[in-house]
Amino acid sequence: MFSCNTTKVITVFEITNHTVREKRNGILAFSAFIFIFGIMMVAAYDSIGTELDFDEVLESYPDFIMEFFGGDSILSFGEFGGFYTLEFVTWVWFLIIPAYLAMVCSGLIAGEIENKTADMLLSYPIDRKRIVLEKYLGVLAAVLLINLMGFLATYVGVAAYGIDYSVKWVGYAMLQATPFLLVWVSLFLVVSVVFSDAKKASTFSIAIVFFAYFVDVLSKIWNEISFLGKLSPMHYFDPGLVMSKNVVRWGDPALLIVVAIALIGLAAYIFEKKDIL
Amino acid sequence: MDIISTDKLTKFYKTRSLRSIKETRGIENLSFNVKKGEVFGFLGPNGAGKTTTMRLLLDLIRPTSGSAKILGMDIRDDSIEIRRNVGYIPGEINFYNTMTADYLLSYYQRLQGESSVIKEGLLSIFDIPLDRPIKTFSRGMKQKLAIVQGFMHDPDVIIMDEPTSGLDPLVQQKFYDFLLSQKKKGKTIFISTHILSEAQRVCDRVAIIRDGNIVAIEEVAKLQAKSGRSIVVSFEDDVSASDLKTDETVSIRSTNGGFRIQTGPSLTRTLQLIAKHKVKDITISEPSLEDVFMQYYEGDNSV
Repeated sequence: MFSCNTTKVITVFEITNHTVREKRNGILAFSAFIFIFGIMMVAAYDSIGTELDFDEVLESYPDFIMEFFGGDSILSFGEFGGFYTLEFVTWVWFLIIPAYLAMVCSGLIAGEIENKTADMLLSYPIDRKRIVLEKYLGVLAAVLLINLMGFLATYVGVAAYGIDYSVKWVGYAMLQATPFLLVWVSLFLVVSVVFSDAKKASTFSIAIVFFAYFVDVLSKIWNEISFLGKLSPMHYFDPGLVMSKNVVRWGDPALLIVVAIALIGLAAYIFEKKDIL
Repeated sequence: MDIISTDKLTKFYKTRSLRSIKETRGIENLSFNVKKGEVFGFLGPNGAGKTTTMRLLLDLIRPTSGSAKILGMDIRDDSIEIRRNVGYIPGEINFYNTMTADYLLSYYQRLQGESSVIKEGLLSIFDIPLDRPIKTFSRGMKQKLAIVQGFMHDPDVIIMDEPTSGLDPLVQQKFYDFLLSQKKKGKTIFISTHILSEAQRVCDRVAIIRDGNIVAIEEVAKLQAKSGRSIVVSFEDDVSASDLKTDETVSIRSTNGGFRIQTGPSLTRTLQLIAKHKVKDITISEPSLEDVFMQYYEGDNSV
């Protein structure tokens, strides 16, 4: 007798699709915020940056204040790349975006366990590693969108205000921001699989972001702990170097990609072994 | 053929505090098997280990020791393959609240990767407002939605953790009828409950579970025969407990103005003794789960 063999292929990226759908409104609103904020900072440069001689003002500050704001290279406020790095990219990409991603990511696994939706999800024939990876891809889409908005804001702003600056350097910086943010996302997913409580995971993740930021800053002005600075992801992303000094190096982003992959592997491994309670 | 079989399945939960690791027992050395086409019940009070067992079978939690097989496959090594052919209705039901029921069912359907053969039929029995967000659902509607998702891919094995909780009597009735139709189709059903009458109604065999151990595995017909009745009776004339005692009596207690008599399977002689007096009021009911346990425990001790 002829028997009908049903195909048992799971539609690809079903969970990614679901993740994006669930987080869509928040991600769109946040990306819009980045875009508007970016344009506002270009406008701010246009109205005050060219009038004041910032560099003269800053020279009167002690060095560590400059380090605190600037990173490795002392940047010039007077030109657009320096101003934009210090006033916008540095703290938005170092603090605000990672903190936002921490809130998004911590719910991804811990939220499902806490709300008990994990029970039903895991009763379907899906590998747990696959769940972690697909959710990761969902956040990857958000990261790409946010970085694209960062670039577009500059592109539109610079064109609109007729500022003499080549936006390709912002493009490079945003490309380098991608592996930087992906390291954070991977780390947050590790936290999210360890905790079974979304709020705890989120609080802990945000604490790591601020801690890493201050370690990075302190390690630059306090030589004894410079080795600690190397543990901070911020050490490996230097937007000022690209946007102001126009030097593009790909070694650090490559390293960040390796770390991101290792961390996502760790998250998948922990989730695979975990009792869903 | 055994569809589900467990071999000394044991789960201890570890709870870590700052100073120590505490272990609490979920289940211990549980061995039982469920045959093809059988409705097998897990009967026990809350906290007995029913949910633990089911979550172990679905690989949500991992055994401390022992093993189990479903459809001949190991619950740890072949879990994904097993889950292709198993439907699950969890005890604590939660959905993605902002989604509509329609979206949710098609999401689960795609995760299952099977064409949903009986979804429409299920929805005609368990009607759900498909286009409304699940957060607006009542407890009963959520339960119906959980039932539909558990059965819609027409699995060979269905594992259900107290599936009738929250359902109104009418829907419960529909659900029992539906279960029997599934059984006729040769499906194997593993159901947990803490309601004796529910177990008696749908199950072929029942495992009585308490404190993580199986107290007895019994055919429902025998359970019924063994379980006897509870009689609460009060009289207008003066009656003492010894006037009502027969060899059928399991226990007898005087209560507020009357007696509570627990009988064995037969109650003819007890009723004859009662009829000798002027009865003010009488209720004869099935024993509570607690009474049944007492019977099994006492049975164990007397041997």
